[in-house]
Amino acid sequence: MNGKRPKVPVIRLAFSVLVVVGFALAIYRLIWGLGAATNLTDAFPWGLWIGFDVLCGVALAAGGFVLAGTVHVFGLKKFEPFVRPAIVTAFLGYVLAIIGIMLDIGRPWAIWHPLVMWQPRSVMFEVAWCVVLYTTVLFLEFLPIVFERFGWEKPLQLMKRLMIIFIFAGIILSTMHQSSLGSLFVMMGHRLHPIWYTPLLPLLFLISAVAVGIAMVIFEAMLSGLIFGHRHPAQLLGDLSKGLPPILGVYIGLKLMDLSARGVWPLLFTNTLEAWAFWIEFLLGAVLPGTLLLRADVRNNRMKLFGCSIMVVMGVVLNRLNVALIGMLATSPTGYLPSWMEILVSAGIVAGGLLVLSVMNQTLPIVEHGPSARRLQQRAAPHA
Amino acid sequence: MKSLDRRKFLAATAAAAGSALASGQKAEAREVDARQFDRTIAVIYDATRCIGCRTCVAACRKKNNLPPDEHEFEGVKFDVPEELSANNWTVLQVYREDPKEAALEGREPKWSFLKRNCMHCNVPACASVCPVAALYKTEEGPVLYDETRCIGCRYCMLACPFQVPRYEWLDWKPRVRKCDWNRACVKACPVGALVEGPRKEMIEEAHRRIEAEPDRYVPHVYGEHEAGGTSYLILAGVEHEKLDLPPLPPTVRSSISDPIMEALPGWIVGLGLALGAAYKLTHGEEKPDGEGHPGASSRENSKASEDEA
Repeated sequence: MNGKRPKVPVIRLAFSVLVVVGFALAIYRLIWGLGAATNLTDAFPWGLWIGFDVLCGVALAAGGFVLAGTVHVFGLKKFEPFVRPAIVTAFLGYVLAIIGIMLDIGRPWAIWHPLVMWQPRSVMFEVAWCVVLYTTVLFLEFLPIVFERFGWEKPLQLMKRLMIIFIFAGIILSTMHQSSLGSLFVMMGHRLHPIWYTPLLPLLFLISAVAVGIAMVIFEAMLSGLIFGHRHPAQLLGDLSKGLPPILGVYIGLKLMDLSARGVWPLLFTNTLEAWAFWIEFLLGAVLPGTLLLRADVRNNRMKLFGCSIMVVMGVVLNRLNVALIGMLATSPTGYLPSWMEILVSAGIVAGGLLVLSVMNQTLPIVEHGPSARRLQQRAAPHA
Repeated sequence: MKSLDRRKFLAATAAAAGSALASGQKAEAREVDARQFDRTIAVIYDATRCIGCRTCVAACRKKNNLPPDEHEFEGVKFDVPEELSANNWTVLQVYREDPKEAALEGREPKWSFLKRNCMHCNVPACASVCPVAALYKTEEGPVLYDETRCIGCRYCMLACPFQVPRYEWLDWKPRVRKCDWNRACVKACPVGALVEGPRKEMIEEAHRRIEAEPDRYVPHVYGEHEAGGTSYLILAGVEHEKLDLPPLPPTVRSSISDPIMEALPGWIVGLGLALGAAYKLTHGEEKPDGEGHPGASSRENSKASEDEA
């Protein structure tokens, strides 16, 4: 693992540059308005910042509730080493999504309004509340890591006793939030392409979020393994990936049901951008990894598993971009391609997140900590 | 004893019937009773009377203090509002039938103006999706916007089936902009193409006109039922679809998302119970040495750490 260290500072420098550029462009957007920085128009009011920063950011943060539930509610304790990285990623993902929202909404200083100016019929109202409450829960789930780092035993014990409440709340809020992002689009039947427009959107968003939550945890463990040296046995990651085929199977089944029930199959066999985007999303993002991961030799091979996790992540990212952007093109007379400023701001936000994550990985007890770190050492001991 | 049982039974039956009735009413509530909007202010726009003079557009500009939408033609600037925008709260569009199509039927091509603006729905989609009730339906009829509440999420723009709300894209403090129903346009119209009155009377008037001159109009009052009904009613001599007015079912738009929001409490309770059950089943009788199968994973673990070293 020592041989790979010199790479890290170079990447960090590049990411820091992106953060600075993104920050400058964000200031530009706040001063001159959304129209000056983005390619958004009256005919295309939501763009990359909603489609990528918010929808993808939140979906990719699903690992937090999925792993917390797997380990602490369903009792699959062997996956405990993944819980902390997943919660840290989720917390960061939500903070980044909030930054994205702050830049995207026209009046960021009014972002607190939904908390006091209620309109509970609105899906956006639910979204706003879920963001606030779940980010708070994630912060509380994150705090023990900080307490452990500084050796504050008393608050640590208190948090541990309360943790199961946070975990329950976190799971319920997450399912509400993930699905509500899909619910946002059920009011857009006149805009969204029929391949994606369905009343099942909330359910499809939720299930794909669970899948991508698992895929993201695997992807991250592998990536940080490649950069910082592997800390998890391949078998454990392979076992975690066993969750993917059944979940993707349910997702694929629901998709097929939905496409048949609404009779949109003919649209899928046309030579259109939408049809191609759908097949890439569906085949490469769900069917292929779901099938490959049925094989033990794929699950237990680091590179193959890494590849499958990337496919699932890209599949869900493409799905969200399809719903928010590509599926909206046909009904919009102006069309939309994100401006370079939108892209650089999004890149800056992601870079900032990865930067913070890599620093936290080195300074906080995230991957190896307390009891689980000791257990790993104990397990390794007989063979060492 | 018997009578008590009987009374209990009757009470239970009544309660059950009551709740059934209540839920029945709930389902009906989604089909909004249009009668409650009978006395709201409505406007008929009769495209067959409109001469396309755009006095209404000028009046709207003056009343709302909106700058002209300047376009230059051969060195001269004109106010040519092409579509709704932050500064164009009403626009006059024109539709002309394909001459070839008309020739096939051996007649002159039909054409029509269309004055577009906010439809002021009975149950507006924009208001139902707004997370802070910045958009709201007033008792008198207008759908209004309160910029002091707005957060700028622009969900209203995406949810409106008529794509009416527009945005101030080049402003650091942007607002959603649309017709605020002050009816300056109605007062300005020199040919009576716009008339206002209580919604019920306006609908009756619209049907009277169609009946009186069936050749002049297509037999449809656009806005009477569309999306649960609107306060802006459109009479035209060509099919409304051709004028770019979307064909919409009479169901209220929010009836799509209302059931999702109303299902949430059930989801919270159900998921809470399921999680609680799973937790109880897996943690109720935890064994002190419940460590899975350490053999396989520890072998992998040590191997992996060797590989990467």
